[in-house]
Amino acid sequence: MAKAPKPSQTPYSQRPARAFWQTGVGGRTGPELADLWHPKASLNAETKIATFGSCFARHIGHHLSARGWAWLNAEPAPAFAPPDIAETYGYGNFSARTGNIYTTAALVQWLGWATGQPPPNHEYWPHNARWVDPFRGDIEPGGFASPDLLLHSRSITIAALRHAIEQADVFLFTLGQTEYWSNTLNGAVYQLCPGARGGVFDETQHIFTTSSVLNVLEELGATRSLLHEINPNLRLILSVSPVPLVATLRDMHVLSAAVHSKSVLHAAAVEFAGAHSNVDYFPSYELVSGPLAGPSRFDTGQRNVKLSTVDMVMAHFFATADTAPAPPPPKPIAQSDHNDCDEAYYAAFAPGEP
Amino acid sequence: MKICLIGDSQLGALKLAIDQGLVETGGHDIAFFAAVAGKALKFRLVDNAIQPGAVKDISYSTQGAFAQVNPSAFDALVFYGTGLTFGNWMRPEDASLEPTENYTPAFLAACAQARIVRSTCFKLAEAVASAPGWPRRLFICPSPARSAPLGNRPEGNALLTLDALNTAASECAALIGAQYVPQPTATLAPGFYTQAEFSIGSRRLIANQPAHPIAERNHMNAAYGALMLRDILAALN
Repeated sequence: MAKAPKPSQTPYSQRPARAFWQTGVGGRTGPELADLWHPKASLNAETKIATFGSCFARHIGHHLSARGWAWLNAEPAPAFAPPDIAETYGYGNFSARTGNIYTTAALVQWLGWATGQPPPNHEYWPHNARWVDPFRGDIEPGGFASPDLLLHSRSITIAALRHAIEQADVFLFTLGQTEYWSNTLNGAVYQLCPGARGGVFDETQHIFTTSSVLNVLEELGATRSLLHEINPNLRLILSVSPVPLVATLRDMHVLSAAVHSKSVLHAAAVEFAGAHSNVDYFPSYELVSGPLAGPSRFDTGQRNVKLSTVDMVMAHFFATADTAPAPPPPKPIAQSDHNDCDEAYYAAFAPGEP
Repeated sequence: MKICLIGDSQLGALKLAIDQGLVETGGHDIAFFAAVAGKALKFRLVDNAIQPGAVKDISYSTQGAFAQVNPSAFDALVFYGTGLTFGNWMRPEDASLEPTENYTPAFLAACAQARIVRSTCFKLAEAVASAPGWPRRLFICPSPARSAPLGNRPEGNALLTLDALNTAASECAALIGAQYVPQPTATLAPGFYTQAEFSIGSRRLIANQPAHPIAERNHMNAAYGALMLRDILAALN
């Protein structure tokens, strides 16, 4: 057989192994990938990191804390609180008790409040004789006893969010969703559709939005500006949650909606990180959803990410730092993250099996 | 009536009160089944008897030692201390100093309830309450709070009041058909403390061991034991 001619020198000739599918990915499982990401500035155990975002983001805080990294907890539970009770009440999952922040629109809203914009203090939803925070959902299991308690608790979280930003070197945000509901009268962006858990859906007030790449890019720009208004030296790390949507309102299959949603977020996050010297993108989404070798990285149901997958993702996060050998991964509090996602409430509206 | 008090070294105060004749027991036969805290926390209901596990030589009684508590041996059981330590949870000098208003009452109540029902004291009572052949007269008592330090007291901020903790403990006890007997009000000092006078002259659980150092603030004396025992006997009657 004739030998293939040696290719002439091209710009690809100097590219490292990570740039080629065969040498970067081909035949490899997630743990076998190497050289996955390079943050623009150093990350190490002393880097003070605040974490927020969707369901997947809570794993990041747990791992940082378990490895002894300087994870910021600006709204801690009291010392006497049993850890599982504290977690149920939303303590220790994110750097403040915001609950899941799924969208960049919601993040901008939280940051607006942290920079002094007045939160909508008339927004609280009745639910089973108690009160649900439309912006923090399940943060208080069963709901708050009164609107005053709810609003007071929200104000504490807003102050804690600001404090976390002031103290942090890095703000790590995990983007989760592009679909959300908001209020046409006051612009409030809700965590869930009104009526799904508390509140009453009103089609004259509540509007559904699907963010485009442009929307997300604009909101990331606003995010960066608001963060730097509080802390000009803050670096931003973006990641995309690999956890698919529970439901879609769009006229398409939920699989298509989920892939589209993640694609939009991914495109925007990578684009935004590429455009700013103090913004990085961490490829957690690819490690879970990418075509890698090995067994599925999802639990049965193909939505919840296995805890072993989370460990693998975080091992890649830590691989960039020059730290001591990693201790065992943190003891899981939840068996999987299906209990962590407020949007899981949408599943209750699914029809029976066809 | 035959009564067994089951718990940790805090029972030393009650034993001392009986030994010194400070309590009229009303003809009740009172036995103790106790060990120091680390060992008492290993008490378990095994083969329908309260057993000390691997711990040896831990029980003592006014009527001679016994190796385990059997269901038919007593008419009433009192589960004492052994992890039910409100004073440690709310101790100002080393508790967190977060403002109470940062937490909702529901969250603080959930924390208190979880701590109570997960204490060895409560778990033992709960196990006995649902096991066959055991007396149904069950009582649960907390460890006394530390005695107040002399001189300046730390200005801590207890997240829960003693009233709230007592209420939570009463509710938890009622769920298993037990009765909660709180620390005597007359022994309390402000700030989740026991009055300093009640820890002076405290003795160790095992009689032949030396007395606690004078500065020891965790264990109480016979006077405290007498007040606590009177409340227990009153609840029993």
